[in-house]
Amino acid sequence: MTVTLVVVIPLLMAAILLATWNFPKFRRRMSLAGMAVHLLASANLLMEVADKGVAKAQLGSWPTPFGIAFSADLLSAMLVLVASIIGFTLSIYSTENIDDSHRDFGFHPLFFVLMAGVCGAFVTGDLFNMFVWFECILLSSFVLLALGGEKPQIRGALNYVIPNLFSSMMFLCGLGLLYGVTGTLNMADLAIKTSQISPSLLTIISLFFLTAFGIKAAIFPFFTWLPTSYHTPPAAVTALFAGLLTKVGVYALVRYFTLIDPLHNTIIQSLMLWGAVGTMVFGALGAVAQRDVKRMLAYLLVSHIGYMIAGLAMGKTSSLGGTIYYMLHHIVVITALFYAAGIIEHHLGSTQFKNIGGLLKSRPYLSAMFFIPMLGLIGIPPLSGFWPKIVLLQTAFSDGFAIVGIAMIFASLITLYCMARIWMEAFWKPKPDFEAEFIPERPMAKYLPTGALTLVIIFLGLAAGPMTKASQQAAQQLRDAVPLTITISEDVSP
Amino acid sequence: MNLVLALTIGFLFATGTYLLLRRSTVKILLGIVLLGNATNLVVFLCARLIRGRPPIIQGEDHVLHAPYADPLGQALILTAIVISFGVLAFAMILVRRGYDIFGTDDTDTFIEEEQK
Repeated sequence: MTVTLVVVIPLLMAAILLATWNFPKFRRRMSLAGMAVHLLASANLLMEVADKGVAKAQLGSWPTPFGIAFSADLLSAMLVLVASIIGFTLSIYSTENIDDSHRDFGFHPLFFVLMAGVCGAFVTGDLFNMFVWFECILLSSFVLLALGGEKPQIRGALNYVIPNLFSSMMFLCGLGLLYGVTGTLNMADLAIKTSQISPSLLTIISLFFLTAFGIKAAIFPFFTWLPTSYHTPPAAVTALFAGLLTKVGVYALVRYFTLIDPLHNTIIQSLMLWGAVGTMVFGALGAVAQRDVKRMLAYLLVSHIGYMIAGLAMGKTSSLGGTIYYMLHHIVVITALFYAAGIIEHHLGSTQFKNIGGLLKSRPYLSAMFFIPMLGLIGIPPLSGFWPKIVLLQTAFSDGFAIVGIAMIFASLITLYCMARIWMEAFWKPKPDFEAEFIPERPMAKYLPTGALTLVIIFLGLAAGPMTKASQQAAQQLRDAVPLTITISEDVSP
Repeated sequence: MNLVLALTIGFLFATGTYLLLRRSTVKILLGIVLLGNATNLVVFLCARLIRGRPPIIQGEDHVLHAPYADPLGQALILTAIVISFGVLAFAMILVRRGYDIFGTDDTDTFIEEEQK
């Protein structure tokens, strides 16, 4: 029951917000209250999962392999909680950042549909159901991205829509083939049945899924749609997309390549490894060339997806744990950075390097709120980026993936360079000569959530011990796949 | 029948991919339509083509007997068609809007316009 709540609450909220279209103030408050309830429900889910193991629900009370199953293990529950934290901060942030035209066109209901899609994808135990949640996310994100309808938005939306539609088709193709071969779509059931089919057949099917999820997660060579579309919408929307959408793709990859095709196959594994290396290196190189805070952050986002994929592709339980920790950390850090970029845009009217500067003196709090996530992204101890990176690097060098390790170090150094660049341009450099209209008022609705996320980052770093333990435990759960598979054989009625 | 469907799928994938690689957004959209249909046919074919055996449990039996038409595959396609209908409607409006504000459907012009 607790599992379904995290999906039902946002869907219900979306319906309520659609029905109260004409009451903007009421909707803003409702949206905040809805996210607060969701936050409680996700915290409750995580506690239950940590306490009693995998939480399950069968929709329509069908016996296990037939109906749609929701099942949340530790990984799902942790991701749902982090997604909910992001959603909660966003419902505060968006009160200032989303202008009237966006609100009029239904930012709030769409935001909740997106949250439902993200949480649904995290907790579903049925592969086709995951496809449906992906489409749910896609449709709402299409509209959120295109709202405004000016030249940059339309071009960004086209860049985003077409690769993602293609990805959906690859997903559906893979689903069809997988169903044709195994006769089931329940993930736990698939885990049992795919171990019995011929490896070469599974490789072909897995290639479809690798492409589909690879496009969503923006891994090399499929990442080019991301940096060309993410800087166009308002900062709140970009932050939401950057934090959650790519991570849904990474989550799908993690789930698929641990449960359904557990990477015994060398072709897929090496494709993924090279994909990860390519993502890290080319994402970082792309970032160096940018002259705009948001664009640079978008490229760095891509670059850091590579770390997560590398952890998965190395196929060790420890590296998988690193991936999970990295995902949790990265969701918070990149969202905080995009929030801060939104505040820079608010004060100076632009995020291009040539138009910004002087914020260290005029806005010290903002500087602190940028500085901490920045160090977190680079991976300076004791902040949260450092610990998973150490785990991943250890695995890379001790298990013969030296190239991956070198790529990680390279990407980290470039991240350091890029972040230093942003720091110098936006904060250290004196204000540009021509007096850009500086808006001095501090929008509390933007400062508060950014500050809150900064605190979460510090917490994620200081709680490195428990976090590492939890993520290793989640990885072990994935690796064993026991909780899911046992349930299935118990519940199958004759 | 299987062969005919397989060839159709191949043809649709080939033409769809060709159109997807064009510069004109309208043609890209048509490519998406063709690829979508090809994908639906893949699911249809994978769920097996069995004629004249509806999945109905006969009389006293409590289970279905082996060769029967699988309704799940078709249910999946139905879901996929409904979803792609909505997505396509959105994509069409997007392409139309792009044409309205850029005055062309050539993606290269979009890039030039933005760089200005």
